[in-house]
Amino acid sequence: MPIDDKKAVEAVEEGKDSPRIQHHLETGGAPLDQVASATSGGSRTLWRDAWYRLSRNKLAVAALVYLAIVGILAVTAPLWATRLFGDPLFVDTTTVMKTRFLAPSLSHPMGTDDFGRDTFARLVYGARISLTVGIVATFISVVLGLIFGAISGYYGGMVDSVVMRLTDVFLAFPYILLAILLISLMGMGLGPVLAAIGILGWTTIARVFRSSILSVKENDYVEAARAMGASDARIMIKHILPNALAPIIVYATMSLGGVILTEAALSFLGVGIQPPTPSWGRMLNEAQGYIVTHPALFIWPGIAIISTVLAFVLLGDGLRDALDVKVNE
Amino acid sequence: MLQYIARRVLQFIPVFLGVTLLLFVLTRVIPGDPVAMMSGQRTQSPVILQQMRHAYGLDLPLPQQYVKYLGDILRGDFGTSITTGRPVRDIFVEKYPYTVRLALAAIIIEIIVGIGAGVISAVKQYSFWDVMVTLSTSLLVSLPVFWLGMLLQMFFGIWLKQWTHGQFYLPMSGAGGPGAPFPSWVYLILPAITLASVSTAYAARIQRSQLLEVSGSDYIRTARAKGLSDTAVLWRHSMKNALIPVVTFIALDLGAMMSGAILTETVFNWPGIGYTIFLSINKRDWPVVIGATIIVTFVFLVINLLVDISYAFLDPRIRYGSSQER
Repeated sequence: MPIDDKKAVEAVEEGKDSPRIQHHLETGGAPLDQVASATSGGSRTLWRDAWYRLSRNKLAVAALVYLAIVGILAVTAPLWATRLFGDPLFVDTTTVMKTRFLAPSLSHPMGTDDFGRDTFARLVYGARISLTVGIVATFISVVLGLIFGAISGYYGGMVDSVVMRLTDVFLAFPYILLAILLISLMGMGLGPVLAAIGILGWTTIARVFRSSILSVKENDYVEAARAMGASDARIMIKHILPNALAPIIVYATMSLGGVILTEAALSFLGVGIQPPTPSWGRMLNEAQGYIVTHPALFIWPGIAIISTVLAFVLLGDGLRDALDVKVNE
Repeated sequence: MLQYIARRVLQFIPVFLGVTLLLFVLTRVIPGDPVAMMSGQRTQSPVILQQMRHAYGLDLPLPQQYVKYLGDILRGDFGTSITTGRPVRDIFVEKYPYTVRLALAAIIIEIIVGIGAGVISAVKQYSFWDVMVTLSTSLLVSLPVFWLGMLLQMFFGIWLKQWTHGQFYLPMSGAGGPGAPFPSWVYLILPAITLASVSTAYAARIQRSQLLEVSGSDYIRTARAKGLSDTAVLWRHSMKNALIPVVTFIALDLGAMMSGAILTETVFNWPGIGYTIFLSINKRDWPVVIGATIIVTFVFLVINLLVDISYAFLDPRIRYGSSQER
């Protein structure tokens, strides 16, 4: 079909990001030379190539820049937020009737909430919570996933079946429900939220790492390491993990967005972060009563959540393409 | 085939036992003495508490309690609400039809919009519509569903009402019923769109990538070479194969939706099982939470089982290949 050929050529010329065309470009097209020449200064490693490919992905770079800005604002918030916009936690009961629901102005760029607190300052403090939960909970999931995946993939047999059935059990539950139950057990707040999301997220990472191990552990160099008397732990960390790292990085980045959404959902339901700490989900929960009169109160936290999650998704997509990892949706 | 079904059912049993065991452990470690909770504010004499413990089998060793608990579940006894005194089974039977109705409505939207958008965007690859579909699906998967629900409430429940001076708007909460201002299907519209949103985006993405992948395969080229029109190739050849993963996804998603959409139901005060669980959590009514969770998880597992089996009917590779995997 000539039409399709034309389309394919156009697509190749435009360098569209379909994985198949990407692959074609990397194996037979001109851009491979560019890759080679761009990195000819130093040694060509997987990570350098990946970084080069990532840096050419405009969406991924934009996402990275956005996340960096959010991160810097969040980390430095205690230095400026309170001084410029007022305390995001403190409620001054004597003046609250005059300072609540203020329209956006220079001193309150996004207005104030029902307790007269600056919405922008609360959003920035909310970013601290969201990013903390995202990073720490994902870290817990990855560590647990690596341990279980390693045990399962490396030892196989009975152990493998038990661990895999365990992932089935975890995946059988409605996710949010199990998270709520776990949090209720531990008492609410930041710690329990981190623990619950972290504990529930390990299954995917475990399965990914397990299949990586299965494909790597039969390699000759692993056999050679074992013949030289390397311990199981050493083989796992020095020889298998580096080869299985790429898919784990991609999954972890993608799940960061999901974790932020989960935290927002839990706080929205009232079992997550507790007031007066500002979390984006908590702010949405509090804004529920003001949809009719003050819609801005729920618009801003929503935009904050969407843009941050979207940035992690786009960055994950970019990393997936750059590291050439296959992910089934 | 029979062998495959048997194997799949045998896998189902340990998973369900694991689910009940995990929930059993949770009920035993949740703070608070169940007997003290049942007596409410009143302080009971230790003798009565002991009698109650005996009546509920709480004085038995833990493994024995688990067996009793499992037996109760299998006989259809999921415990009793500590706030209303009603059996969890009755509460479930009353609330569940609402959840099913919402899930079915959402699935219909997902099938029509998800598959439709995916096909358009694959057939007209790189066109304006393709870009629109890709952008909106990326946006949808990054969006908190409850926020979308609130947004829809604001647009169709409040602003539309103001613009049309109260002539035309959509209800924002509840499920209608006798004496309500709208016929009951109208109450479904906003919750169903909200519940369907994220999955519709995923369905469209899967449909698009599958169709593009199939379009590049040899048998499609052959079909084109023998002179079939683009439409005939699409509907008679490409779609047949490209639909399988999407249909699987949607079927599994139906299972997930049937297990109660706690966020959507809460935003819209939809009286389904998800909202019931949410309210019970706030009231610390653990028997209802745990009992409903067990039933809902069971439904989810059964639907997964049925999807797997029907998938094996459709695709012989599953039947013969899967014993090596996992």
